[in-house]
Amino acid sequence: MNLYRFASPAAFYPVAGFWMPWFAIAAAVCTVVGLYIGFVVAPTDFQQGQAYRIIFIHVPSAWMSMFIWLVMAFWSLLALSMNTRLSAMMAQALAPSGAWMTFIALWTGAFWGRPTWGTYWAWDARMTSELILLFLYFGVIALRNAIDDPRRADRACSVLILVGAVNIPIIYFSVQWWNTLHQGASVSLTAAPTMAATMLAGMLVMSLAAWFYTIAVALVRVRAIILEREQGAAWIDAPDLARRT
Amino acid sequence: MKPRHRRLAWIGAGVAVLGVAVVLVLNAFQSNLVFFFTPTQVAAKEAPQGRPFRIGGMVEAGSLVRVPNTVDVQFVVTDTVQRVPVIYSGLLPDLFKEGKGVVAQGSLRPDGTFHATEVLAKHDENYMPPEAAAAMEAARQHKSMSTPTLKDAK
Amino acid sequence: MQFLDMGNYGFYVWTAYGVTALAIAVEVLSLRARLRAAARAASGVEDTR
Repeated sequence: MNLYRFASPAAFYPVAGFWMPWFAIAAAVCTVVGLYIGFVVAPTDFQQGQAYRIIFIHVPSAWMSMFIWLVMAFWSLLALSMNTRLSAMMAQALAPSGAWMTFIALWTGAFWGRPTWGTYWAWDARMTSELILLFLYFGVIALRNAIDDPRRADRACSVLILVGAVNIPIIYFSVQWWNTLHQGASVSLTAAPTMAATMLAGMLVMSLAAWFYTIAVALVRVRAIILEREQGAAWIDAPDLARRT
Repeated sequence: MKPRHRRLAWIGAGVAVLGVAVVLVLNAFQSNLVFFFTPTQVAAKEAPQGRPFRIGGMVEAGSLVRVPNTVDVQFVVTDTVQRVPVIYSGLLPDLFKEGKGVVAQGSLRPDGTFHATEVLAKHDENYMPPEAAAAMEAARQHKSMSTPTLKDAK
Repeated sequence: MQFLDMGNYGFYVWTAYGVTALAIAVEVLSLRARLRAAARAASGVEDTR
């Protein structure tokens, strides 16, 4: 299979349009199932009572906020080394999604911290580095808008995204490297999860929902970006677009 | 070397240099990134002298004393090696419990007591239903094992 | 009612979930507007603004 076939915006535009609804449906189904497990099946927690149920959005959004940046770094590396337009467009399409996920992680964390720790916010290493991530997302979006030439903006943003990637391991390992108010990870690749099975199931299904939602939103956004940047290109079926709008 | 490869090499070098720089900066700021000091660090005078800081550890079992008809409390923060008595006037968070984690902001008095202005609860990363926790506690008392984990409950 | 109360943590749980739902709604609606504007511009239809 020739992957380069999909490397041009013209070829990817219809592909993204075809797959988007399926990811949107998958996201909706996972959200319903995940919330059902999280609020009906999963029991109350022995030390936090019902307040722990915020975990079902807090952890998936926090994971997504870090993972999206890594995916953006992947596309940026591709954009810089192969000089492909679509890769940079993918990174550009993911940035707002990452900012939203970071915002949700911080917000739900604050409203989880208040009833459990006793404070909405503390300047510990985990929370501070996650806040820096939010500003890095803002920085990428701002840099993009600050440069008129899209190709130059692609390169500048790609470099910023690659440099900003050093923040991701700092966020992830902050709870091990420093004394923090935030507790350690309940789920990791190296140890058995420290959560009851149904709680874990709810959290993982909600994480899948966050994945599918992010993919669906990014596909729509990359279509918008392709149209914005390829305006007047020969492949765009203007009469067809006019009929649909 | 193709231009594409050279560009990639430069990017790699740039990222590596920045990574090293960040590690060095973080090392330098390590002392400022410490959210709290343990009672052992306080005993070794590693905690800041003469200015407020946070102390973290476990609330020693049986150490909590509430002054009747007030919100004044006294308890002992321990890391099982050293102990620091804490005096606090205010409401405690819901998760504040003897034998559980705590982080208190305040300052150390010459008599060795810590006068807290804010007390936060620090909980662990274990999530389970109360019945499982009770069963684990029973098993722990039965076998007098140290620090139970979820696996022991199964 | 007992469900909404969330063991006295209702305010925190529902504020967290509510703002998340709001954030998703804002993202989806603004994205739909952006795609429509881009399609309108690319199709050559005169911008009515």
